[in-house]
Amino acid sequence: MLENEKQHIREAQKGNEESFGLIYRHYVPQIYRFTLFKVSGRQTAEDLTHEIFLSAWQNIKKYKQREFPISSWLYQIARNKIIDHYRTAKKNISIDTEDFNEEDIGFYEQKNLDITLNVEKIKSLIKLLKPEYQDVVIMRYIEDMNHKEISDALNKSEGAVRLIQHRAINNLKELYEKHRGNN
Amino acid sequence: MKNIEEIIKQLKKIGPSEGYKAESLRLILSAPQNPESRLSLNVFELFKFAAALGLTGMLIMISTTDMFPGLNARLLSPVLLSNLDEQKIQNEANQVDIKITVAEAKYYNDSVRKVAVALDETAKNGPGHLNSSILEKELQGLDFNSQNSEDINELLNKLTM
Repeated sequence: MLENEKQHIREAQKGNEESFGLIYRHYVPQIYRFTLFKVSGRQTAEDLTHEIFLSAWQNIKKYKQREFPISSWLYQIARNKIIDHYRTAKKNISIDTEDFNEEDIGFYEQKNLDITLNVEKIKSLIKLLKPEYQDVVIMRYIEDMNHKEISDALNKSEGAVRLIQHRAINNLKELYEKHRGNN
Repeated sequence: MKNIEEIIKQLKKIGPSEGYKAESLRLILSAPQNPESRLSLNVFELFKFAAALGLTGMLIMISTTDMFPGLNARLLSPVLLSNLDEQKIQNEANQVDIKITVAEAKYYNDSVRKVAVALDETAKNGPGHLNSSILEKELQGLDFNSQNSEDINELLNKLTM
């Protein structure tokens, strides 16, 4: 959660660009990652992330503060935008690992990071999961959100989130083993 | 296999470029914000209040008038509102009155007989003999139409006058 987040939200609601800028810079990486794992390609993820934050800026006056960070609200916008994206484009979710090629990885400023082959495999396998499994895996393991935050973002109970997480990880392990067996 | 959760965590290192972030934020902030939609909320609240008020008024009209003969007060609340029927109340009052009169007459009739027996016994045996069960038994054996009874009654009347 961003430091003094509530104060920044109140200021952003009054139209303070600097406060919204702080919120944007704090949350854009995780929303971008979430989007990237749900759509095909870096360019689409960037466009959607831009739309998500544009919508957040335009509608922040309607946002009602609760005990959770604003990221829950941003994830809800993201999910709606992604649904709209697929509805409009009528695209099938590609499971092609070519969506995450070396060129893209370089663009994500990971040049100095040790991107292993395992990571690439997992990244492509996450896209094979059911959409709600993807959401929970990304939020829980990549964004370190707690179950309460995830349940708020996905409009599900905490128990349901735990169950989805359990199933998703098992599913992912099966896919990983299967993928290794094929290779 | 390396712990799959640990592998997933490495994906956290992915992020958008600084150039993208700066350009995107600049474009976002150049867009106007939507006004807070208090109006729609107020209109909805107002509608709810008006609907509640209207329904309450309609219920009162139905309950207190003959606008809808098939759906009047008796049908809506036959138990509670029956007390508001003036004619029925009058009838009930009359009936209650009659019942009281009859009950009183019966009481006086019975009590006169009991008093007569009690006085008779008292005259003969003293006031100690006033057991109600014995009096009842003796009451059954008395003949009120005999000449003696008439005499006693007359005597008692003189005493009490």
